[in-house]
Amino acid sequence: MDAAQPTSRKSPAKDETMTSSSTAEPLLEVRDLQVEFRTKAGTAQAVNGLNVTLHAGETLAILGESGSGKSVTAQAIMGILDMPPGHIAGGEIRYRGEDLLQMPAERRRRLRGMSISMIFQDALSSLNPVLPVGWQIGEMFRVHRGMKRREARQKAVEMMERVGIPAAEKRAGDFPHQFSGGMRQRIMIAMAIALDPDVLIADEPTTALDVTVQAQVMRLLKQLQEEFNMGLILITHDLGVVADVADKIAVMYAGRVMEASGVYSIYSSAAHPYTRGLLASIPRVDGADERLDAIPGLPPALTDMPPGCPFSPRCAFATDRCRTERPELREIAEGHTAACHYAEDFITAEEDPA
Amino acid sequence: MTRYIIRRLLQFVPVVIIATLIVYALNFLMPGDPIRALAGDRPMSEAAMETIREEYNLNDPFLVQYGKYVWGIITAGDFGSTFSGRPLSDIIAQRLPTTLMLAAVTFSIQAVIGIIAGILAGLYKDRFIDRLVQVTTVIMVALPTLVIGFLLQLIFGLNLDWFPIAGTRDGLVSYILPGIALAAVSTGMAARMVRGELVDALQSDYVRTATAKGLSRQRVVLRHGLRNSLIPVVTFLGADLATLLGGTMVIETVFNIPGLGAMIVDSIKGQEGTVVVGIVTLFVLFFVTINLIVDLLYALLDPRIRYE
Ligand SMILES: Nc1ncnc2c1ncn2[C@@H]1O[C@H](COP(=O)(O)OP(=O)(O)O)[C@@H](O)[C@H]1O
Ligand code: SF4
Ligand SMILES: [Mg+2]
Repeated sequence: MDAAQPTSRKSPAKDETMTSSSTAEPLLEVRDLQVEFRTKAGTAQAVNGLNVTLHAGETLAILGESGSGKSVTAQAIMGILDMPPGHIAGGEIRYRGEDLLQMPAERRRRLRGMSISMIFQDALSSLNPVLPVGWQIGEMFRVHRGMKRREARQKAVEMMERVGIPAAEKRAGDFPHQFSGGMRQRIMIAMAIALDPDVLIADEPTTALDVTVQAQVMRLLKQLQEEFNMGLILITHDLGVVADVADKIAVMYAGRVMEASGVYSIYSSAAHPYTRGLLASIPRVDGADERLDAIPGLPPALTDMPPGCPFSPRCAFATDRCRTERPELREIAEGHTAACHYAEDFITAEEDPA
Repeated sequence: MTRYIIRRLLQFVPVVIIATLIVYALNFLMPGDPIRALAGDRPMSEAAMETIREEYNLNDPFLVQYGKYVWGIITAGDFGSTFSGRPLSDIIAQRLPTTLMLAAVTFSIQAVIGIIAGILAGLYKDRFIDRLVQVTTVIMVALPTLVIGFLLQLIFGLNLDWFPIAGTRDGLVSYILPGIALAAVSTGMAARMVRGELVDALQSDYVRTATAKGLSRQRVVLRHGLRNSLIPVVTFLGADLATLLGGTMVIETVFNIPGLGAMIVDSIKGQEGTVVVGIVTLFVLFFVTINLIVDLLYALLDPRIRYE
């Protein structure tokens, strides 16, 4: 089943992409993806039948508590899962209609970094500590474009300028540990977008940064995405960030999409009890001392998934049906899907008094 | 970088002074009276003994003696002389190439075998080759050098007759068994170190990034994985080259190699303090210099050290 199409757009520029994208083939389509980790404790089903779709110029936010399979999904799309213990047990990942999982390894490698690229949470550990940053960015041009050292370096400096690193020419020879956290993440971004990719996956790109820097880096990502008309998959567990940048959102739990819709419908009419729990847990800016109202309980063990709704052990509304029958992800309104037996009831319950 | 070098050079001087001073003090810890030892069994007049004391600066205070000794080494390469009156510098000039040859063979074995075995084990983690390297290196590290030396002589010298077991008459070939014996422990340690570092590096975030950049597996492993994993082993092997000279004392004796290590052992037996102190001082200078070079090399390879 499909993740939701965006229901609302923010800028006229975006409306154009929207029109072209809804008719055009999606950039990326993940169908029924299943990823397992075979460990001593048993087979952990990190991703269980995940579906998402991404169009050019679109931002899809993937949201969920830690351990819900967001990073594993991203790694599966990139083709950088640790295998073993990881293993793709089923599904398709279509890039411009072609299944990446069936593609010859060499062809898929060429797409990495060139058409689909990724930035990671911890830029310090994700950049090579003993190579100058300019060299690391330039490597993209040398490997994929066959450029010579000097030309590649020049390109690297251009990219550094583009992501707002001051004195780029001078700093290209510096090493990652000589930069601040925000600057390092900009370097990661410069490297990821160096070859003008179609799809950019950002796995919690600002989580490791100071709050003030977080906003700057998010703004940069957003601006670059519009400039390059990239499809952006933004993984985060911070609902606050999502509202500003995302077009649509997929909420993950225990390796599944629990709810997906345009970003506004999530805020106005979240249907799934898990999504509602997450929304309630956003710390409020106006009440600094307000307690973070996290969802009580823990996600299920991935090695031993409950038979019914994976959220049922923590759900305040769980019934016997929830504990035995697994709710499928289904459309509950136009462009709005949810995997809960009682999704419609929750929406109407909220909308009635309004 | 320049500041780092200057700092290391400034540390170098006191280290050299303290280390050579301690070695020099050995003179006074050697059992027996050096002058009586020099005389052998012959009786000696008080006047003759006084002349000798004067010649060897034995009447000066300890630090003055030491100062004159070091000055002699620095200005004239004068390490003193043996009982028989032969300048120690002659002996060093004659025997140093032999010991350096042994050190070179040993070091090559450590570096080449240790690193290659470590890389193979790390690349093929948990596979047969990895298991093989793990087991072999445990044995190599556990067995004392002396025992390995005897075993090699027995198997490859006496039984198979592939290599000579004593002397240096056959040139390079003569150094192979002693080189292996001397290299065994460090080769094992180097291999285990490279394996561990490589396994860690291949699971690191920056190697994952390298893969995500669309680099070939070969480039990911060589440019991003291996380079970083070899930095610690460079330090280890360098430091080991410095301590290796100590090992030559045992191995040169076992394999009857006429180098400086064997000379130390003989001189200890013959109570020739000047010779022992002279050669050990040379070894110490070598040790400290190698360590300095290794530190500078480390800084060159790892920018994180350089800019601390
Ligand atoms: N390398 C791995 N080995 C074993 N299990 C893993 C590995 N990576 C992820 N997993 C499993 O997948 C689950 C989901 O992880 P992840 O996708 O990183 O969550 P998150 O949503 O926080 O990004 C983890 O709880 C873990 O059980
Ligand atoms: S299906 Fe049942 S348990 Fe699961 S979220 Fe809906 S109400 Fe809760
Ligand atoms: Mg994660």
